[in-house]
Amino acid sequence: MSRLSNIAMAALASTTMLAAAQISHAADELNVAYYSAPLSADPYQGGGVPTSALGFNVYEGLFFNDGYTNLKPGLAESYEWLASNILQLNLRKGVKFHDGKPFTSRDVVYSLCRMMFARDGKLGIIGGSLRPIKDIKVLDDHTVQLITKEPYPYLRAKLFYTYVMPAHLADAPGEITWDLDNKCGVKSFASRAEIDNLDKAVGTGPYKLTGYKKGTGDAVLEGFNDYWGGAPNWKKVKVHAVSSSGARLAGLMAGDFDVIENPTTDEIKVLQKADDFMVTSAPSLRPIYLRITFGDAQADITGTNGKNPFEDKNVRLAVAHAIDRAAIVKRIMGGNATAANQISPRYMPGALEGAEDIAYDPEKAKDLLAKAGYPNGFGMTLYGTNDRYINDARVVQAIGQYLTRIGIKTKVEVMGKGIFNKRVRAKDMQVMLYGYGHTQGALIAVQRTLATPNKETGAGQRNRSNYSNAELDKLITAQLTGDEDKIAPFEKKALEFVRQEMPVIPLYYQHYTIAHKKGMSITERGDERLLFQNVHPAAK
Amino acid sequence: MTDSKIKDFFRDVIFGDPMTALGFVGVVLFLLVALFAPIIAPQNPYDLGAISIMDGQLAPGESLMDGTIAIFGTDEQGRDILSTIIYGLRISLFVAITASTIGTAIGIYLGLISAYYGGVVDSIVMRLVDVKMSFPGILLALMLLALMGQGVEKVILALIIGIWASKARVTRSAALGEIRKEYMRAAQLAGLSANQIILRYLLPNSIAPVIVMLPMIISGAIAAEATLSFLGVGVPITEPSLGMLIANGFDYLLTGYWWISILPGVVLVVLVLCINVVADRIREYANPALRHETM
Repeated sequence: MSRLSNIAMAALASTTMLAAAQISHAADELNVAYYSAPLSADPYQGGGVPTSALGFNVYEGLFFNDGYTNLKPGLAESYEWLASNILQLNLRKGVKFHDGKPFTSRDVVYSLCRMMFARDGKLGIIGGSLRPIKDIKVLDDHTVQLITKEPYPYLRAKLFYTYVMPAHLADAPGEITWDLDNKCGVKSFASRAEIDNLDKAVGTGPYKLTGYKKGTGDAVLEGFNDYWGGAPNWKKVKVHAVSSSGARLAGLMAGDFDVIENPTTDEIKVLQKADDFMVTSAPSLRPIYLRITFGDAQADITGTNGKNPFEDKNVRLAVAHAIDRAAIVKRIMGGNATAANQISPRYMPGALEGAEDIAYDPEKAKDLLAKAGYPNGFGMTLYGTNDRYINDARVVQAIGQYLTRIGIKTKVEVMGKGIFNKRVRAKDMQVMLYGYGHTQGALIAVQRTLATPNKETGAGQRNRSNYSNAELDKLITAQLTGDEDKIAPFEKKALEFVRQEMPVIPLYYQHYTIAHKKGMSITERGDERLLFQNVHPAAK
Repeated sequence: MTDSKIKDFFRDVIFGDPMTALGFVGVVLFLLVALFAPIIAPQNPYDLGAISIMDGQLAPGESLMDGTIAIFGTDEQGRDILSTIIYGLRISLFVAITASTIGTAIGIYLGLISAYYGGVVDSIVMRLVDVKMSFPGILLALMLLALMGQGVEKVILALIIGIWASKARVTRSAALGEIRKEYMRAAQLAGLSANQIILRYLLPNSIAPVIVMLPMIISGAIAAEATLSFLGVGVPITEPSLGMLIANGFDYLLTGYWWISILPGVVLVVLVLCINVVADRIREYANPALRHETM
């Protein structure tokens, strides 16, 4: 097995090759091992965090955030709400694209339009969050006004996710306007293929994309010397997509990689003992929870006379109190997680402060089960992945233990994420381990996964749990239409509702962990995206 | 075989060679342990209510919270490794023996009707065999399990599909040799039905070459099941077979929790070795060409 040889290699490397390897990598080249391959050089093409993580080094948004949803000025240097539905953006001057051309208002309109037509040039789901925009007015080369149909408090947060791309590389001879029925007046947008083959992979970010291998996902980036934000930290960055954690570790120990993502809980223990490496972790915005499929009972539920027991709030609360979160965090996650007390990571801005911990109380759990009419419990299967979240298969089994102890006879079934995703769409798994966070605000994840689906507002875009609650929908609608600075109380109300009703059962918040050579310093982000500008070389 | 023949077989073949004798004793011991697993094992590792993650990753010889000593240590879920090996042995043997027996039986039957009827039947069966044999067995099983999901019965089915083909071919060639003999004609002239002829005359005279392979097929199935479970598509994760135990412990090899992976691995190797030693000896005994050289 290649993993075996990797381990042998690692053992050898740690003793003999290390010194030599460090000399061969000059400080001006950074080698990063991603845990999964970026699917495309076009950040809109899906593929989760790795694709957009690579994109954020090449492209920039109108606003930045610090990885914990706090917004900072980006390509928009400043902004002003002229009315609760008019956002004026004053664009940064002197910004250049990688091909040397200047960045102007036209690029902003083009980029927002391209997001709407990101996949195959058809109006699609990606730009759902920009749907509320009614019109975009260009006042001059560096001033743009975004006008929404109704007040849209999350607009700035959404603009963090719009990668600014150059209009001059598209086929758009005339004026570009926010006219979605006519493709904004653009004949053809830069296509995914043109970006993947690097013909049009041009942004304003600190790194230029100079190599991308479709399939493996490996990429090469070069520092962009005309970057408006100052000199890049690295002359060259090589991104290696290595899905086996053993191979990443071996590569780090052999000196092939300077930074590796997601070492396993057990590898962290090895690395912490080593002298030449450091492990750093940052609380992530990704909560891990038990997701419930509402509606009919699925085939795996037994002993309930055909009812779906999880429709009953008491059963959900019973499950919540049956689980010892602290034990899971300590014994299985090796301390690299934070026990959850609500769906939004408790340290995330906008999350409920001072919310009570969910007590581990098996007796209370049994009482709640009895109250729900299941004094002898029932039977179910708990589903999970074995290749998606940190220690997912182990956590699922541990939860199986806790549920069995309060009388819910639990079978455990884990599978690869490919099959798992198919079954998520088929909705035939009643309860599963799941993780979904959002980087734009505490309530956005709730709005996308628990609100009743609504194409107009984009609510419930990822709601595959059949959950639908009129009261929650009302709270979400209220917070989606207020002024930006007045939404916090609405957010709190909706989050409190979710905490009480528990349509999902929060477990813990995973930490984003990376290991790197000693001497470098790295600032990590809660959204699990590694920016190479946040990786500082060791002082010489 | 008569009683005295069986006695002779054990005296000459099994106990006539010390290695074979040792292997045979090993196989019998493994079977007994698997059979009486619930009595022998200190813990029922499949009962999620009986194990606790607070007992996780104990080294061999440390004691669980309830005071029992984990001679072989525990895994990260707090399962006693000795108990998981005993129960895992049960699953591995059950899956392998069931799949091998059914797979071989199907293969023999198809081989017999293929030889007996010839013509179209023969063509269809043999082309099916060709198609099956053109796939690498493990790849076929992986694909099937990816489609069907996890489960003991699904692993058995996948293994059966991997086993039957070559046995059909071997039986067919043996049966073709028999069909031309005079007793077959006599049976046909006596007016026996095709089924009677196949089962009463053709079967007993054609299965020897496959039957002597059976122990080898079983050990192959044990290894195949272990491979599938190691790759994560085999038995359910809460009811680990030996292969899955090795996989579970694999992540810990670097961290020093060697017992989670190594101990089940040793048991798997010894089990397959024992069966193979006995199987080899039986094969040699059954094959006159080999017998003259070695006996």
